[in-house]
Amino acid sequence: MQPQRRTIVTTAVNGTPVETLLDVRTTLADFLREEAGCTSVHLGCEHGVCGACTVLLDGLPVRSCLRLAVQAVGHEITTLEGVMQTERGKTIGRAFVEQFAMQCGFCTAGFALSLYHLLENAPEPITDQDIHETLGGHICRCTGYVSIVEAAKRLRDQRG
Amino acid sequence: MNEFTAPSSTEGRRLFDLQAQYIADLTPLPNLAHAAVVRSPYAHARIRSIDSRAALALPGVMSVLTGREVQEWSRPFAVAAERPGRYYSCAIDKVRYVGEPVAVVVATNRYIAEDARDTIEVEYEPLPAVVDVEAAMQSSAPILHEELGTNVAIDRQLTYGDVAAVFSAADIVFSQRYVFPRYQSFPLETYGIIASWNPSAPQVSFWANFHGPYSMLAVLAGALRVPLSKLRVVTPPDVGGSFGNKIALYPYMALTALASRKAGRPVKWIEDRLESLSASSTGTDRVTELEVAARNDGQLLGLKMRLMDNVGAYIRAPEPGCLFRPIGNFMNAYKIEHLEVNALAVMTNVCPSGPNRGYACQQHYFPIERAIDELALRLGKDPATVRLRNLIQPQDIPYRTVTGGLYDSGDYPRATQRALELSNYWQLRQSTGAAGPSDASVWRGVGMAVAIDPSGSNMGYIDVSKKAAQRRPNLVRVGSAQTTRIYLDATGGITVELETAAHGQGQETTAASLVAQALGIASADVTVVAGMDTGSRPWSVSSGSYSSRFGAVGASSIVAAARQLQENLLQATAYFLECDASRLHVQAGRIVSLDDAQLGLSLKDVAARLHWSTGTLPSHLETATQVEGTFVASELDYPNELDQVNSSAVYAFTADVAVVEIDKETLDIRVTDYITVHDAGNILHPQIARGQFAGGLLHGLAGALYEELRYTETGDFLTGTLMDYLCPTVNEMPGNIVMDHIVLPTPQALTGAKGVGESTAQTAPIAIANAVADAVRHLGLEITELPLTPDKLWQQLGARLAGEPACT
Repeated sequence: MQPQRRTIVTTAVNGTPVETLLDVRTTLADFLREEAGCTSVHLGCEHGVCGACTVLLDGLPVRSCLRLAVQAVGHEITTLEGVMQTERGKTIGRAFVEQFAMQCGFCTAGFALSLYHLLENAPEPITDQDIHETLGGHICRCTGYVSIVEAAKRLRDQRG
Repeated sequence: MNEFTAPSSTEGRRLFDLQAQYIADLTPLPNLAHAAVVRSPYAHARIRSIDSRAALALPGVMSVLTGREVQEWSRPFAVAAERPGRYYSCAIDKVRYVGEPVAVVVATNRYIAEDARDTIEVEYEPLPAVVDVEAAMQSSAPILHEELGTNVAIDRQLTYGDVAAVFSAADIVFSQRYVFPRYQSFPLETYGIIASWNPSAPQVSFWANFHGPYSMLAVLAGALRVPLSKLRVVTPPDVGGSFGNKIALYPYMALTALASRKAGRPVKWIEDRLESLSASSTGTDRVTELEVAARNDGQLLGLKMRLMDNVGAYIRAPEPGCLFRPIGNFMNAYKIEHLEVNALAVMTNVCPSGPNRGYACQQHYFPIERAIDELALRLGKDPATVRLRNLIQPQDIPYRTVTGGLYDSGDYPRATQRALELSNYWQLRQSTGAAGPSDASVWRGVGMAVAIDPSGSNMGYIDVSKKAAQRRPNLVRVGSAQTTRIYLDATGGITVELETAAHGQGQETTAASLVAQALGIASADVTVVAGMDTGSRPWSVSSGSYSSRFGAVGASSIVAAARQLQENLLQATAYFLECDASRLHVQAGRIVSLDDAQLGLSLKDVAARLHWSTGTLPSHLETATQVEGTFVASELDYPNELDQVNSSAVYAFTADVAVVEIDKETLDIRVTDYITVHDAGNILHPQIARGQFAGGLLHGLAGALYEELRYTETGDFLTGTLMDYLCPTVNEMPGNIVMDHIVLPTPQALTGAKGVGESTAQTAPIAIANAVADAVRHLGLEITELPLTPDKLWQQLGARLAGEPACT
C-alpha cells in the first residue's frame, strides 16, 4: 500500500475560489459533492457512461467521475448550482419542470448541463439531430426521453 | 411559471431549486463511517478462511464483519417457499453467486474502506456451478443448498377447469418452448443505506432508499431478531428510481445494520454500479413450455404451461412473486377457462431475482402472446383477428377469471381497435416481411401485444405457493391498504403527509392536486411532506409504492382524507354560523351556504377559529384539523381451496403495436413506430401518466433488444459495466411514439384510477418480438427468446443457410 499523498487543490467552483487539502486520488465528483457542497452532481455509474455526474470544466461538459480533483486545478468548474444562477439556467429549469422532463430526477442535472452547453455555444440553427446527439450522451431510466426531447426542443425554439 | 391545467412538477421544482435530498446526500447522524463490501469472485465455492489482519491494520479501518457474526447475530430471511435455502445477508460458509457479500469493511471514508477491502484474503475452494434453469433441475446438477438435496425450491401444480377435455376436443394443439431473459430495469441511483445499531435499546435506525412493500420490514426485523417496533426506516424525499429493484434493498439493510453493530458506529453504504448489476436484484429469467388448444376458427380453448423460474442463488421475498403475482390475470385479457400450470422456482448460481417493472407479467404474457401469433399463422388468420375473437367482451365485465381475478372495468376490444387504427395496422400488414419492396434495404415487420395490467397487489396471492392444506389458517394474508394524513393549520394552510415512499412517480404533484380539487383551492396552496418515516407516519405491511398501486390505492387514501377534511370543514362552519351542515358546500376555498351565497366562511377563518378556540369547541370538532384517510381495496380475498385468488385491487389494460425495420445486410433491428393505448381508468395527471407510459416503453424496448445480464456456463458474470449492459439512449427510442388512452374508471378505487406504472414495460418486449417475427418469418426464423440481437438473428440465419437446424 502506497502512503496516501495529499495536496492542496485550488480551483473555482461556480465562480467561487475553493482551496482544499485533498488526497490526490479524490475524484472531481467526490470533491464537488463532499467538499464544495455541490450535491446536484450525481453518481450513476462511476465509469463515464451514464452522464449523471456531468459538469462544465471551463465551459465544456465533462464526466466528473472520470477525473481527479487535481486535474481541475486552475480551471473553472460549473455545476447545476452555478447554472441556476443564470437566466439560461432558470429557463432550462422552467422547461424541465413544466414539461415533466424528469421523474426521479437523478439524471436531470447532467442533461441540463449538456443542454446548457448546447444552447450557449451551438451555431444557429440547432437541429433535431444536434439535440439527439447532445441528449444521447446521457442515460435516463424513467422518462423514455420523450419529455426531455420536448423540453429541449422548446428551449431551442425559445433560444435568444 | 405558467400554470398548466395540471400542476407542474413539485419534485422538479425542488430539484432546480437545488433542494433535492437523495440518500447519498444525507448525513443524518454524527460520526458516520463508510462501508465497502467484499464480494465473491466465484459462482460457487466453499469459504475456507478469511484473513482480515492487513485490513484491520490500515489507519482508518474500524472493523470487518464476516459471515461468522452474521450467522450469530441474525437469522435467515423468511420466504414463502417449500424448500428455501438459508439466505443470510452475507455468505456464511459457501458462496453461491459472483458478487455475493462475504465481508464488510467499515472505515472513516469510502476510499480507505475500499483499500482495506482489497487486502482481505479469502481462501475459496471452488465448486462446480450451474446457471441454467433446466440444467439445475437435473439430478446430476451441482446442488446449491446441500441440506435440500435439490435446487427446486417450489414445484406447484395448479389446475383450473377441465384441461384434458378441451385438449382432446381441440381442432389444433401445438406446443412451443419460450425463453425470457434476465434483465434489470435498474434505477440510475444505486442502493444507499445508513444504518445505526444502538446497543442499549436494541434499536436499529435506517435512512435508506427503501420504498416498500413494508412487509419486507417484517422480514428484515425477523432476520435481525429485533421487534418490528424497534426498527425505524426513513426514506428521503428524493429517491432516484427503482422499478422494483429497490424492493430487494432489505438484505443489504440487514448487512449494513450488522456492520454498524460490529463497528459501534453508524455506517453508510452506497452501492456502486458493478455491485448493482451483479448483486442487487434482477428480473427473473424463465423458460416456459406452453401447449395451446384451439379451434380452427381461432377460438382459444385452453393452455398448459410449465413455468421454470430461475430465482438465482437464494429464493427470497417477494419471490416467488414472479410465479404467482399475476395469478388472477394468468389468462391475460382472454376468455379462456381451462388452464394447467406447473410452477417451478429453481435456484442456480446467479444473483437472486426480484420484482422488475411489470413483475412477472412480461414473463407470463410473452409465451402466450407469441403463441397467439403462431396460432394465427397456422390457421391462416391475422394475429389481430385471433386476439379480437378471444378478448373478454365489455358486457362480460365485471369478469371473474377462472384463476380468481376480478376484472373490474374495461373495454378491451375498443382499446385494441384504437391501437390498430392509430398504427394503421391493417395497411401495414400488406407490406411486411417478404411482401415489402424487394429493393428496400430493410425488412419491415408489425406486431402487437395486449396485456391486463394488474395494479395494487393483494399480498394474499403469495400463499398460492403453498398447497391449500399447508396454508396457515390462523394467518390469512389478504388486502392492500394505505393511510394518508392531512393537517389544516391556523392560517388555513393545508399539509398532506405522503406515506407511500415515492421514488419518481410525481406523487407529491398528484397529491397536492387531489387535495386542492377537493377543497377548491390552488395546488400551490397545498404543502406535501415527501419521503417516509416509519417512526412518525402511519403505515401497514402493504404500504409503499410498488405494483402500480398509487393511482388506485395510495391516491384513494388521499381522496379519503381530503373528503374527511371537507366534511369537518362543513361541520365546523355549520357550528360557527349556526346553520345546517347539509346546506353548505366547499367552493373556491370557502365554505358557503347553498341557499345564500353571502353566507359562509373562508377556509382561513374556519381554520383560525378551530385552532384559536379549542377550549370552546364541541367534542366532534376537537380534532377537526387533523384527518386521516385510510383506503382498503375491496374484493380482495385469500386463496381458496381451488387456488383461486383475486391477486390485484384493479386491472388496467394495454394494447400495443410495434413496427420494426431490420437491415437486410447487418440485421440491425430498429423500432420505428410504437403505438400504445391504455385503459388506466381516470388519469390523475396527464403528463405524469404519459411519462409512465413512455418510461415503461423504454424498459420494454430494453428487454426486447438490448439489456441482458449474462453469465458464462460456469457462472462468471459478463455484464458488470454499462459498456456491456446496454441501456437504450434517446437514439434507440422509436422515432414515432403514439400514446393514447380510453377512460373506463374503476369502481374499486375512490379515484377511479387504475395503474399506469408498469403497463408498457409488459407489452413492449412482446409487441417488438412479434414485429420482428413478422419481419423475418419468410426467412424461416423463429422468435422464441429475447433479447433479439443482430447476432442471434444471424446465428439462426447462418444455420439455415448452411442447411443446419436452427439453434437459437
